[in-house]
Amino acid sequence: MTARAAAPRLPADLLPLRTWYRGRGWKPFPFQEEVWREAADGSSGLIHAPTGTGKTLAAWLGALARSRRLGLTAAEAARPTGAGPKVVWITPLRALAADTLGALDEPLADLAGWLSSPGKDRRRPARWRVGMRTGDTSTQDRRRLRARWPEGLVTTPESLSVLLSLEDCDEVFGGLETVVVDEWHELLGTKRGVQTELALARLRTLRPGIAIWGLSATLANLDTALAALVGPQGAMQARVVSARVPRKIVIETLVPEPMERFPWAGHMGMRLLPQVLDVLERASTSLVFTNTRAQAERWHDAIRTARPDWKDTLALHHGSVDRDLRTRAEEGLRRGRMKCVVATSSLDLGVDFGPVEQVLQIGSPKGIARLLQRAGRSGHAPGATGRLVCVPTHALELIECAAARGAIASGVVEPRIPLEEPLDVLAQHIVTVAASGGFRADELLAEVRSTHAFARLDDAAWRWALGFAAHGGPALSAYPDFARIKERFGRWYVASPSMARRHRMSIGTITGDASVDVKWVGGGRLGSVEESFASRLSPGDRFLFAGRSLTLFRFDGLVAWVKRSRGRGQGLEVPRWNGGRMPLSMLLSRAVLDLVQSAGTAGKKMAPEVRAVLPLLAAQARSSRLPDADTLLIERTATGRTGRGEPAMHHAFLFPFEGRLVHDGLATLVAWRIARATPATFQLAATDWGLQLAGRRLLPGDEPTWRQLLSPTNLLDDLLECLNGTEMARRHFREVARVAGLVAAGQRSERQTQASAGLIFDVLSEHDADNRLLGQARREVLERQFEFRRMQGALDRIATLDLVIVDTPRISPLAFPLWAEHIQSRLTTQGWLERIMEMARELEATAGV
Amino acid sequence: MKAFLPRIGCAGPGGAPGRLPEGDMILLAGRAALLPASRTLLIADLHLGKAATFRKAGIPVPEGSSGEDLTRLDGLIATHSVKRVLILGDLLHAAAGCTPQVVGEFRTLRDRHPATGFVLILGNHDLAARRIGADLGLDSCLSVLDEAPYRFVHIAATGSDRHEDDKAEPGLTAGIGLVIAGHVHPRVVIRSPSGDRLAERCFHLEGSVFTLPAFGSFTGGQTVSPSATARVWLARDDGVLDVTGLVRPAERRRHRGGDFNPVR
Repeated sequence: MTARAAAPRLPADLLPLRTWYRGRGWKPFPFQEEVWREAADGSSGLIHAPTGTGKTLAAWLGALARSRRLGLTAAEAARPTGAGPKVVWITPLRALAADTLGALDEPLADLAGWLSSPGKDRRRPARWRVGMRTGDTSTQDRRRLRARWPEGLVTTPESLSVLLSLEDCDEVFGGLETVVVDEWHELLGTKRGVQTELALARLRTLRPGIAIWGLSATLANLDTALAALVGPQGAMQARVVSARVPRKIVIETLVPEPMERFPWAGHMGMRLLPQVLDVLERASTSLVFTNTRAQAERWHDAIRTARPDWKDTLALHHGSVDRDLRTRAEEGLRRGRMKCVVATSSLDLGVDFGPVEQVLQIGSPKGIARLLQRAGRSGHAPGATGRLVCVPTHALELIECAAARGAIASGVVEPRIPLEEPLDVLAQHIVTVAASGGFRADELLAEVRSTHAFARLDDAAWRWALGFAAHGGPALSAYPDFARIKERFGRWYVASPSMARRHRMSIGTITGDASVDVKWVGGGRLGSVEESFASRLSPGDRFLFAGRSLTLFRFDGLVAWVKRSRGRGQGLEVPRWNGGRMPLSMLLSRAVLDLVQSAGTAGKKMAPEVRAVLPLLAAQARSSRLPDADTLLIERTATGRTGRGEPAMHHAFLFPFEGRLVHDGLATLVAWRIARATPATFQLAATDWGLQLAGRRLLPGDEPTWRQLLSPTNLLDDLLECLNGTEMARRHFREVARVAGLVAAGQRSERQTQASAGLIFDVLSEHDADNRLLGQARREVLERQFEFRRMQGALDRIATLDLVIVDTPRISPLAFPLWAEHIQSRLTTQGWLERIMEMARELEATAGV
Repeated sequence: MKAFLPRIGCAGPGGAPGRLPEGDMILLAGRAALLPASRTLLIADLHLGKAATFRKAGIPVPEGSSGEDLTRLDGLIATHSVKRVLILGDLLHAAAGCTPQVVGEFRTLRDRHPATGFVLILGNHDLAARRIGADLGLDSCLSVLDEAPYRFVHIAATGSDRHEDDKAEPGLTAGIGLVIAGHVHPRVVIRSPSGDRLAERCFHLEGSVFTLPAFGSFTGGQTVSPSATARVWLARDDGVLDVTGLVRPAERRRHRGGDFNPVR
């Protein structure tokens, strides 16, 4: 199912596409012509090519070619204009919709003659129209769309689901020919991806024979990505079309000089600011990527302070900054007016910024695919070279940069694993379909099972989901006042028009933390911060947000009213947003461990980044030892002194090199296994390199005990059990509850039905313990918080390693970042009273010092 | 007028059903308080029918918590031979949740204690309760009740949420020294220097305002930041504990996320 080597000739009816391409001074790549050919024949497939190589035009012109051929048949020609879209273009970000719209519109004027020539019907439009329908589309525009649909419709997965919930959706999509899913790799592995899978299955039912095309960046598991896109059945006929377009990327790392003053830990490190400024000077337009929004705020502020003359050509772009401000930054980039834009993953996707000359990555690259994607934002023209500069914020990140560079050179990249059986998404989809004119249960089940995500859905799970949508699950069947869908004459319908309306408002699978608008006292919105941050501030407090120093004037629970603050942004508080806990990928972790190990063996050719960190690694070797691929290093250290001179805290540091999520899971597991025997409370922390357990008791020091603590046996049972000892499942329930319709969407929902998901979690745990959504929340915690599958592999690997336990008198260089890391979670098996008493003793002890 | 600080006794961590401690006001396990002199039981914020309100709106939440809350209330009335139950607002969650079942359950409880008076101080959620007060078997519904030295209200007018036209300090009326209120659903967070953290519902005495925890189980909470002179008791189903001394060291452990280089 891979691309054939020798491309056959382009059929005569498609030659005008090549001509149009040449007219613009380009030559179509072989993969583009291949897609045109395949698409014109009505095939489906996945297009895989680096950014900036013309995937969009490959798919779009292919869809036009198919439409032209279909137009030759009488049935299609007779369909009235504007009855529904012929091509649906799904984009993951609504911010991308407008740009996509522009790109799709571009060839339509020139190709109008070719497109309409075969049709005998004079009423056919001379020129196709494209329109968009996203969450931002106004009611008025929606009405206008429905009155006369454009031939090409750009939309998001959420908006597509809303359209599928309309009663006349079979009419609307009755003339659909092709669906294109843009940036499929971004949706894959998320609930939005599953939502898209279900929507595509629905469209296949409404309109058998539609072609589905996906556009994807490089992934290690393209065949799975294809199966998720077209369904396991469809994948037999569909194919992956790969672009063999060489994309040159030059990667360099800024190495600090002198190294002694470079921090070992932390992620706000700005030691390299002068060098970064030099790098920015040498290009006319740069994109600076950070890993978190807080980091973006800090760097933007630092650059603004250092280069006041860039004031009008420097911008900040992240997900919490107001849409208007972001659009201004994007516009500036596109017109080549920006010297520098500091951004987070909000600028990872889509949007073609021709003029970007170089990309800077601040902090850990985290993954190879991700770094490639970001590098692809520069030199965004066929044949141009991408420039990427890695900027480490602390010493260990130097090694990560070197590892990423090495991995890219060797051409490897990570996979994206699609989700399986998220019942919350299914429950939402069931109500969606019920709203659109009803369904027969057996037919919808068959349709749902045609997706990759639910291919193995068993009857019991299906019945549960249907029952949940109908009466809220077994625990609720006694309450006739609740019903979202009802069965009449063998078909399921939505219970009432108002229920359908409410459901449409809540469609979607994206959940943010409760957020609060930030507005100027004089009017105008700056963006949003998390509620927890806003509620900690008092009037008069200053903070940095949206690239400005602000003073809080008033916080009324919904809006934080701010004024401009005088003075520097340095030292000001920056909102901390949850999320951004992306782990170092498995590929990259291995590469990092290899580099650390090779640093110990003299005589090998060494990357400059590793050479710079050598003194630190040598210190580690002296005070403890260097980790390597054959051993697991465990360090035990005691810190602090109580009033009586005993160690206040006992720490254990482990270095499995499996990414922070797996480490988080391992820390929880080990803490649970210790505390199960003797009641105890632990504080846990994890980084990409290792994990820490800290508590008031001495931790085990013998190999057999650690072997048991790290045993892969009973992993799942132990983890599920210890989830009850942590708040994790409860906290994670928010998303599941929101998608399944347990928590009202949006912050302005009716007040009377507002409840925190945690509260509902408690009620369900107590009164509806068999609720499958609770089980799903637990499974999701395991996979998303701990990367369960990777964790299993990690424990199996650890079982084959030598355990080396070293007692260190002081925190070792490698343990230091773990010690400095924020405590991420707690695990306790003590009763509340016992904990309070210990806390009281501790407070007294510290007060006495 | 001077603030009146009652002697407050608390039932202790085990709940200690046997003997009650001394005091003008006793804090009981199960999120209620008792005024022994008048054998008045104080509770606030039951939010009955909240789950039913959710279901009406198409959100599938099982019942169960309302019944449990009423059972707990039933037990408290019996154990302490309560003469009067004073509900400090938000007995009902919303009109939509006033199903016959919800009203009936409360009525059954009420009728089991014919000698006990039931008084509701109206809360912001109680629009329906005023209408169906008789169905519920309430003896009276008031917006405020003064019984020197106490004033019972739902929302205590404090500096932060006071309206412009309501500048009067609480307790300025002669003889009133302590305002006892609900509405806030207070919770408190306790942190230890080594990073342990515990969040619980609480009783909260701040100046001349004493706030009760929400009695209803299906209710959220608002984390309070007690001042240096405040007093705080953890309010659990299985006990009450004075944690004033643990709450006051408010400086949280700072995040050590800056730049670190131990050799520098």
